[in-house]
Amino acid sequence: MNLIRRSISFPEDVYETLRLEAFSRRVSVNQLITEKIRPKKKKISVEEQLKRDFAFFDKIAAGSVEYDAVRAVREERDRDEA
Amino acid sequence: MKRKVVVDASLALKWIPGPREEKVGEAKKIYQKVTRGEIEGWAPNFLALEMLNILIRKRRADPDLAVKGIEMIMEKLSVRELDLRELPRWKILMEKYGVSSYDSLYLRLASELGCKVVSCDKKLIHLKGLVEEL
Repeated sequence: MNLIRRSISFPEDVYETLRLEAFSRRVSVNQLITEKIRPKKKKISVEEQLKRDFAFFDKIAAGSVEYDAVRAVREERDRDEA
Repeated sequence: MKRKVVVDASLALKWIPGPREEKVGEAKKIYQKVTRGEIEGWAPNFLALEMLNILIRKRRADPDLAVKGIEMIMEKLSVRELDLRELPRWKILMEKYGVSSYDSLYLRLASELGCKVVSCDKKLIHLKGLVEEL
């Protein structure tokens, strides 16, 4: 990750709050500020994930032609059989 | 300890089913269990190539979507890299069961993990001790 170094000024009371929180969480002030302003990835539930996965798989399926999975695998695996 | 299963390509390809694919519901239940962490799904990394071949060359799926779908599936599985030191063991399984080297990858992984391959393939499901029918 590329890091950029800049000087930022804080009001004394704001910096003190940050410093105390960083100390209590055993992280640097720099790390704390980064965590606070970085956009958080929205966590989704397993069930929501499953719904999205199956929807995506259906999208792939919608553009494909009929070819039975078992037949396809067997043809591929036995293709070199004499 | 969580139950482990080795996912055969004939099962994984039912997670991205083609038109009129059979047993899709049963296959999806396994995907759900793996995703929920109820069982551990394992596969040789070769699974990704088998899926890629079949989705693109046989089912004529959109290649970019196929890649993304395969990546999503492989992320859910514990993947075993090909280890060429296993060659003698794959050969033994080929001879013993009359299967291809590709089949032997799955059988060997199941034997190593002490679990079964879940497959829909009649050529494999008669190997009762090693393979479980979907």
